[in-house]
Amino acid sequence: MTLTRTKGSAAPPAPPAPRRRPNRHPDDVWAAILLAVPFGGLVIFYLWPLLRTVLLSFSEGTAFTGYTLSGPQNWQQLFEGDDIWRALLNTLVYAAIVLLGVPIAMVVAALLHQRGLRGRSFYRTLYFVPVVTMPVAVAMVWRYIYNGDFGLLNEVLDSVGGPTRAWVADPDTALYAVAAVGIWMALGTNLIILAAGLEAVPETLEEAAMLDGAGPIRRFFSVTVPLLTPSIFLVSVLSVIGSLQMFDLLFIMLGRTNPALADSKTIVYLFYEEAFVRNDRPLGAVIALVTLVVTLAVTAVQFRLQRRWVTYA
Amino acid sequence: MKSTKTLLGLMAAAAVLTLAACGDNGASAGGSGDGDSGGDSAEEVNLTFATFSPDQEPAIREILDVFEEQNPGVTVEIQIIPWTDYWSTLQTSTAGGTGPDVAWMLGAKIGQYIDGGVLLPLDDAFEESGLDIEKYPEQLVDLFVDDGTTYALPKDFDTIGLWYNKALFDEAGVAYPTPDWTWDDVITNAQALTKPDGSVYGIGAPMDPQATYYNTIYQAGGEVISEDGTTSGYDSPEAIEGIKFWTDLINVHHVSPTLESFADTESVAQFMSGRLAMLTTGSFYAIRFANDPYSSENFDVTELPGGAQEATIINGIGNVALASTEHPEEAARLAVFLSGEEASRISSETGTVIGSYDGTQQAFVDAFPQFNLQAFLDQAENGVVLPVSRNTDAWASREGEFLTPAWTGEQTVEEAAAGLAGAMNEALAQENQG
Repeated sequence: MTLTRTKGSAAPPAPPAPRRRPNRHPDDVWAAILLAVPFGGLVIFYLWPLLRTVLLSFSEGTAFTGYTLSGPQNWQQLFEGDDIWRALLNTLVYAAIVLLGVPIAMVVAALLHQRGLRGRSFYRTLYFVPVVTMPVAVAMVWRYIYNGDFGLLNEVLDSVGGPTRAWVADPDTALYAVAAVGIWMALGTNLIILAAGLEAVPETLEEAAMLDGAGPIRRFFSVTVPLLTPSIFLVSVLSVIGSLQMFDLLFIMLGRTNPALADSKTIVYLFYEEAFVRNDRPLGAVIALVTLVVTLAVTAVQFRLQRRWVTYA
Repeated sequence: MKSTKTLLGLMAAAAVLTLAACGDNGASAGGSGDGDSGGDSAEEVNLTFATFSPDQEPAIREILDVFEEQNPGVTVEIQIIPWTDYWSTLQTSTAGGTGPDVAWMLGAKIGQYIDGGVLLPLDDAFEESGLDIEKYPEQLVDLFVDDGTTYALPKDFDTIGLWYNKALFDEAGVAYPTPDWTWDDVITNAQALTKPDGSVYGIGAPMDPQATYYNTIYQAGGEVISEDGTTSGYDSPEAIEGIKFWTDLINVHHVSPTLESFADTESVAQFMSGRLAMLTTGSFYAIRFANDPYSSENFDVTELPGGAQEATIINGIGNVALASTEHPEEAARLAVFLSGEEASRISSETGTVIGSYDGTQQAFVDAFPQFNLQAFLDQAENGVVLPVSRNTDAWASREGEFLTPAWTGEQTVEEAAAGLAGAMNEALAQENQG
């Protein structure tokens, strides 16, 4: 093979310069066709509904009578009330708390990455279980754990003399109690992404640091973390976006007659209430758009800040 | 790496855009109407019937079998949509023209459907069926009639009674409740039944309009909504008295668990676990109590205690035919049949619900002889229909929000009721102008 090649190279064929254009053309067509598929999906499933939502937010009517454009009164109604501000604040607090799950996931990922750890895949599976469990089932179990009268948490706290309370029915603790579950549920996904990031950290750098006399903690912060920053960034962005859309945990864990509900509503919960309980779809559209804008803004800020701390090797 | 950055950007952008899909309320609830499109021969008619109760499915199937037998060539498919999704699914699918042919309807919801013109009038089909309108509870029939046109007929009804746990009464040496009890009797006896260690409470006072405070508001002579449906009755002294009875049980007499406790463990579950000696709730729980060994053995029921006047909240489910159906004649016939005498008897006999058609109710009483279910029938004549307006949800969804501080004791009932009346009047004004 090598021999023939060397031989053949002695008489190189003439460069097919004039034929390059017709050759490239089919590629362009294929590229256009292949791109059109996802682009069409984007238009049909995202852009068109988005446009419809914008129109709906400026409309009035009901599902049966149809909706007619009527001006910005829905927007006025929303921003003149207190509900949206409360919900925005709750959502941001929730997102901030769940973001604390990222450092936790980093530590766990680093521990699981230790060389010579036995049963690594077992632990990974264990941490991943909450991710593949239905949020509703998770919420039901945690509801029991947090139960004020018969809950597991109170029982444990009681036996060690700690404070007991109705964790998800008390306005002072409900949002935090739900956020704790949010952290726990997100841990698995975060872990997988961070673990993949850790695999990519070259062992030679670790070894070099070790030869320089760096201990495991120093190595973690000076070598591993900086190289892991792209993954940490991705995990943070996804975690915040997920948190801004939180609904299911709150819906199941609190229930509709919970005294803590008024103080714990998130923005998507408010959307559900207006659009599907009170049947005010136009107002629901306004809230959906507010959510979109908030998510875009928060994500843009994160992208802006990444320049300061994310290292791309 | 540039490509990593681009990839991250794309992923984040896609995640952000996913949100936009949240706002799309249309066309999402399809997949239900495929029952109609089939039918190779012209004779064959497939209808879809939507319900929200898996508990009632066996009885419904039995009723539908009879209907299919009487109407050769017609087959009916049951579509169970869970309660939490039922109304939004029915609304969107109906508006989108992909809805079921026949569906369950409540008085609180029908106004919007009538206004939207999406229901078939059932008058002709009812005439044809030979059923007698006089045999239905009048208050419930009125719920589904608009301007002389009937859009649904009640298939069943339920009233509220005072359920009690005989074992806990025996243990405390307290005599069982009788129909002539007053609410003062409830308080004194609840005090005797409540254990100081918090393991047993005399009665449950959940914030549940139909099962608790609506009843006492009407018994005190108040009303939730004015006769003409234009103003709130919440700020009247009678309504406040009716609500205060329940909040006092928690905050003054300490004979009921708190609202927090009911949020953690719903009242019926607490009752069934022997933590509450009494609970006011509906006839619709008879089947659940009968199927639970502890409840079946220890529970019984009597009429609601009396206030200034007798009253119990009565409610019923109706069957509507939707105008979007491809087979209007069969759909209307089915809607009437599902609320007819035969259907009523099957519902009662299985103990599922109290059939609405007069003459079929005794079967319900006989279904579970361990409970005095006659109490629910005896009260029906004092029944006050669950209060509704054209867009009930617009104000009913705010009741919990405003009354919560009264239940937790952070506000007086007067303050809470005034706030609720204000919000409700606003919603009603919007509804009447629209």
